[in-house]
Parts: sequence; structure tokens; C-alpha cells
Amino acid sequence: MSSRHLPVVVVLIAILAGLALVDVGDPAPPRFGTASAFAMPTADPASSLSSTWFCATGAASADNDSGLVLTVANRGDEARSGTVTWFPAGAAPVVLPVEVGPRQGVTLEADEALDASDVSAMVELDGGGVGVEHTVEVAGGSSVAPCASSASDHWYLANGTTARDATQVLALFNPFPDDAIVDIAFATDQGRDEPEALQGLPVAAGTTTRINVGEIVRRREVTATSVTTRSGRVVVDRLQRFDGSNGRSGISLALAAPAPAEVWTFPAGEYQEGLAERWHVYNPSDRDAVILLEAVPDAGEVPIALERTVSARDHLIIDAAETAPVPPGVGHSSTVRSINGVGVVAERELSGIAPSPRRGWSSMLGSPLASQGWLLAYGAGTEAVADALSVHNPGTEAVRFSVTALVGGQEVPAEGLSDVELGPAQRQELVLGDVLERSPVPLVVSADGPVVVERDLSPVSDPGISTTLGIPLS
Amino acid sequence: MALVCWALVWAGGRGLTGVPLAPAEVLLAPAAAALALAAAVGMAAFERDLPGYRFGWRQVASLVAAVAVAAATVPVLAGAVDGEWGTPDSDFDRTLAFMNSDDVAGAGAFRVLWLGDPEVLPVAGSRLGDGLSYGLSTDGAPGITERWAAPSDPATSLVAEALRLAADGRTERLGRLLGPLGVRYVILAEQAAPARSGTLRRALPEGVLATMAQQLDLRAVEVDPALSIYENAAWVPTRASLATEAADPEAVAAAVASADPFEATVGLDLSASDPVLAQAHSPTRFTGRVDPGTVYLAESASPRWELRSSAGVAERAEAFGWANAFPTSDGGDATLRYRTSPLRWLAIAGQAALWLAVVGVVLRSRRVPSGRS
Repeated sequence: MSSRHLPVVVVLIAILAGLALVDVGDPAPPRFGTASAFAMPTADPASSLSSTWFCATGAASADNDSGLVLTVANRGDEARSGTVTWFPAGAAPVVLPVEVGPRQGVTLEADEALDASDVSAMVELDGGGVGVEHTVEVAGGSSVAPCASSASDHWYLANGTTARDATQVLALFNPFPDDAIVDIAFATDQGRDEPEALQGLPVAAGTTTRINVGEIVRRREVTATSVTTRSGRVVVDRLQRFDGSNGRSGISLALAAPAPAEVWTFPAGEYQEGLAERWHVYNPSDRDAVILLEAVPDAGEVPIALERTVSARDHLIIDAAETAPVPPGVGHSSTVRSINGVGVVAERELSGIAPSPRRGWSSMLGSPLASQGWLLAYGAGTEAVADALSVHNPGTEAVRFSVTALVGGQEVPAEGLSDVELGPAQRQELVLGDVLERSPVPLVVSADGPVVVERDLSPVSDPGISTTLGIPLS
Repeated sequence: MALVCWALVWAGGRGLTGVPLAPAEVLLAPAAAALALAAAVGMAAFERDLPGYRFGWRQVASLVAAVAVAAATVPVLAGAVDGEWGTPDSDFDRTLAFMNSDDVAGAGAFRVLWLGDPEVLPVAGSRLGDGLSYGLSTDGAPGITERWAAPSDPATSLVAEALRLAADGRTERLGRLLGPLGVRYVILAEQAAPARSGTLRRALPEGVLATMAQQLDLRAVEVDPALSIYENAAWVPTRASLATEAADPEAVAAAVASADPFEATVGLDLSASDPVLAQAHSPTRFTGRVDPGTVYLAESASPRWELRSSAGVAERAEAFGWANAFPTSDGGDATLRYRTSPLRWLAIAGQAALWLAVVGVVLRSRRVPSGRS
């Protein structure tokens, strides 16, 4: 080899060595697809081949007062057809056809399809752009929550109670053809509890296991829950009821969270005499979490965020009346934010007794996502229900949003709710009864930037507080 | 040349070229030839040039090269001692013996979809993603013939499309998408042999197991830790009389007529379909009973497939946009066969003739011309 060839050889070897170093230095493991822990129920894109929703708890009997109602809303331009499969306790599933026209909603009542004390449901449709919410109706109240758009091998709840006046039921729904095995642990006001009876608990294929938490973890003011599967996947709901003996009454339905997150946003909030607001933060990891509670009032100065530490595998309660992040009686949005990279789970509890005009109990998980489109499937449609919408802009730029109703195959703008401007970190509370005729129609909130949407469906004069987040649209 | 070929193989393996390249074995052949040539030239230089050259790095390089050649033979010698060449002492035949049981085999012909790193797959694979390939075997564990890559056809690419739809969360009914392809089992392989053999392990990419766990019609089958096996509850035999549990012939007919392979089947459970034409005489000829209705064949659509019964030749139609369907009004014994094109036999004869011609030319060129001494 002559000296003329040497530079060429050196260059080639250097290139090969460089390529090899790049190859060795690339730490990203290969990944196939995007199927992973979803943050919250989300409507699949309209182009999806199919979409499936899982609704874990309810009843289908005129004798049992927790009747299950599903509301299916189709935001897309094309009709959707498919099936609803009702899974009654102790009986074979019942499969019925479902059709939802474009820009419409339909209501499916379990007790019109079957008679069962406990029932779960699965809705499968031939495309996306659809959201499903489930409502549990009892004498004197009801509660709405979104169904799950995917099962998971982990579920978390930051709140719950097994106090003397309370009944807390966890519904573990397994819609798959394989049995699931789960472990359940609690972080309570009296320490961590991993009941032996709830370790290695089987949830048979196509069934729902219901656990009355108070029969196992007795008389706890607060229980934060972790459900982990050893095999299989499930969907978890919490149904919390109060008998009124301690001033609290009503029912609250919530879908658990499939994963911790670093940010949880609550578009609405208020506390005053008789109405308590508390943030429950659960840290299921094995590292301490440092969190900030940021509250932005509708009026007045924005206070300094409260910083707290949530110990590993423990929970924390921040009472608005004790810490006064904002003045009492002032509406506000709030955000729980983990600042040291440790994911947490956060719920906001509203507990109202006399003399507050709002009486009842509700505990709602925050939103870990902001989106430019939100679907709210369930419409109250009566003068007995407040039906208020809170839209929060968590970003640093102003956004504009519009509210439309899905009526008779059309998307109809709500009067006075088009192109509403919302400044950074601001929120807007809208009483829909003032602008919409009282009809149970699905709603869509569309914005030119990410927002978070919460709906209040509390009774006007009867006891009960019912709040739910919307369903983000892909 | 060797450096260029290695660079192409590396870039192609990482999908950087933007265009499909030949398999690595093909690209590495010129590199091997170049290395062999370089070694030969090196030996010639060592023998002829170096003795007369002043002492320097060239002599040292020659010594290093000789030692490297010797060292390179050590693994070969080690592998040759017991004759096993490092292959595991067990394979998946026994692990998957349940697929040969009467219950399984008697339910109809089926396919097994294999997913995993190409290094551990027991079948020839098509690339699905980084470190992930897929392949199919027929009626159980793969044989030696399934280690050769067949020419790709539209039906094979449907498997990849179905897997990507599921992986992207756009369906929870992967079983219904794979069912009409005859896929009864989906096997995710992380080792080339049963776990106890301790062979090479290649973890599956993130998301693969989660994707399978989300499917409503795949049921896990526990067999060996090296394999994650799922049975497809919506499987359709590769030769079947199509039916739904709801016995809705109109829905079946509409689905068969659909040109989209997935839109029609994702909402339709065809698992009630019965196997037909049970006797397989060859990969292209089957006999047995058929039922009135639609006889379905999960092979790429071709007018050369023919179903003949006592009622005559059934009219063939395309099914699900890629397969074959034969509407039959009467049941009874029938024969399904692929009518091989006469051109294939001509091509084989032509190839044989060419080889004979080459042999003749070689023999003739070696004859000593008459008159030469």
C-alpha cells in the first residue's frame, strides 16, 4: 500500500469507528407501537378501526337502587355501530347491538336489557371519535364518570373512606378471556395496609369482583388505593356512598387512574362555610415526592404555591380551609404538580353539609392531560340539575374556545359560548342551563390551545355533588 | 469493498437508507470475497515482496495477520469438537406438541404467527420494527422448509398491518383481524429454544407484550418461559365453511364481499366457522367434505384455485379483498386444488436444458484437440 492510499484508509476506518460508536451509544430501547399506560380515558381518533370502552360498575335491577346508565356520544361525521356487552354478576354476558348516528348520543340503560344486582358493561364500536360515560343513579342522587378506554395492570385512587357513615366499593372488571390475579394495597390515615385477603385475589375472565373495602379495612377516614395485577388486566371503579348519619349523603362514582402523573389539574373548586375542599395526594412509588399545590382564583392575586412532601407509599391531605390557598367563597382552579420527577395521584374532594347550599360528597381525580378538544357525553337536561362547565387554560398563552352541542346529527354552537377568550392560567365557569335548552345532549368544547374541562352536574336543591372531567378527543 | 458492504448492512439494519436493501447475507458476500482477496494478496506479498524489503511495520502486520487467522479458527474448532456447533440440545417441537393433539389438529388447518428478534425466530422472518420480525408456520412448530423466506405476497403484509393497528391502539380485536388469515396461535419468542436450554435471549421491544395484553380475543397459554403464547379466540381454519355465532349469512356474505380486509372482520366473530376439506395431499391439493354455504380458503387470491364437487366447478370470488371464497349450494365431497400454470413446467424444463448445455460446454472445452501431442 502506498502513501497515497493511506489517507483514504484512515478516513474509511474513522467513519466505521464513528458509526460503531453511535450504535453503541444509542441508549433508546426499541419500541413497537404506542400502546402503553394511558393517562386518562381518551376518545380514539375517528380513523381508528374500532374503539372499546369499559364501564366497571352499576346495577340493572329495579330493586337495586344503583342503576347503571351508559351514554355514548359520537362526535364524528359517520355513524358508528357495534355492540354493548352487559356482564351481569353470576350470569352469562348479554350482547346487544348499538347504533349511534353522526354527531349524536344514545343512552343505554342496563335495567332495560337485563335484571341483575350488579353489572358491568363493554361498548365496542366500528370506529373512533366516540366517548362513553356511565352514570349510577340512586334514590336521591346520581353520579357520572367516564368509562375507561383501555384496561391496565395498575390502578390508583387517592381518596376513599370507610368511616361509619360511608360505604366504599371497588369494582374490578376483567373483560378479557383470561383470569386476572390482583394485589390491593391501601395507604390510610392509620398507616399502610396490605390485607392478606386482597393479595393474589382472582378476578375471573369476563367477570367483575366487587370489594366492600369497609369490611376489610375498617373505619378509616381516608384510604388511598393501589391495585396491581400479577397477571392480566382489569378496569377499576370506586363507588362511594354516605348514609347521611354524619351529615354527609349521596353517592360518588369514579374511575381509578391507570398511572401516576406529575401534573393533575382541577378546573373548578370552591370552599366556604359548610363546603370543604380537600386535595388528596397519593404517592405509590418508593421515593418521596415533592409537590406544589397551585391555586388560581377567579379574582384577586394569585397566591404562592404550597409546597409539601408526600412520603413514599403514603398519602397527604391538604385542606383548603386550613391552608387557605385562596380566600373562601372564591371560585378557583388548582393544580397539583410534582417537582422532583416522582409521579403521584391526586383527587379533589368536595364535601358539603348544611348550611352550605351544596350538600353531598364528591371526589374526582384531576386531569393529567390538556387537550384542544373535549367531549362530554352525559347531559342532565332538567331544571333540577345545575349543569355548569368549567374550562381552564393551563398554558402560558391565551386561547379561544367554543362550546357546541351534538343535536340531531348537527354540531350546534351554544349561544354566547363561541370564541370565548381565556387568558393564561385563567378559567371560565359557564352555567349551561342559561344558554342551552334543557335537553340531554352531548357537548363538545373546542379550543385553539390545550385546555382542561370539568362539568358539574350537581342537583340544584337536592343533596348531592357530581363532578366529572370531560373526555379528551384525539 | 468490504468496508462499503459493512456500512451498507449497518445502515440498512437501522433503516437509514430509505430504500429496501438486499438481505444482509447477500450484502456480506462481496465483503467476504473482498476479505478473501485481501488475504490472498497479503500472502502473495508476504511470499514475494517482503523478503527483499527493509524491516518495518509491514513485517509486523503480516505476523499479526497470521496470528489473527489462526485465532479465528479457534471458535470453529471449539464448535466442531462435539459436532453440535453450539446448538441447543432441545427445541420447541416438544414444547409445542400440544398443537399436534387430536383436539387441536382436528379443529382444522391453522397457522402460527411468530414474533421476535430475527436471531431467535425459528422461521424466516419479515421485518416489523427494530429488533422485531414476524413469520408464519403451518399447523404447529415450524419445519426446515419454513426457515427459507418465501416470496412476499399481499397476504403476508396483512399480518404486519394488523399488528401495527393493534400496537397503535387502534383496535382491541387483533384476533378478529388475524382470524381470517388462519392464525390460531400468536407466539412471542424471546429465546431460540426452551428456557432451560439457556440459549441466547433477545427481549421483545417495549410495547409488544402490552399490545397483546390489551386484546379481547387472545387467550394466554402457559407453556414455556421462553415463549408467550396466545390462542386466538376468533380464529378461522384456513379451509373453512364460514359462519358466525349469530348464524347471520347476510353479514358473512357482506364481509366476504368487502374489499377491505379488516373493516368487515373487526366487528364480526367468525369463530363458529367449521373446518372443511380435511385431507391435505400436498400444499396445493385438498379433499374432503364441504357444507352448503361459503367455502373459504385463506390463501392469496388467485383464479388458479379450483373447487370441484359432484355439482361441478364452483365459481371463485375474492374474499376480504385478499383471499378466496367459493359459494356452494350443495354439500358433499369435493376437491380443492391449485392448477399450476404450464409455464412453470416449461421454466423448469428450460432451466434443466440450460444446465445440460453448460455441462456440455465445459466437457467439450476440456477435450484435447485432435492432432496435438
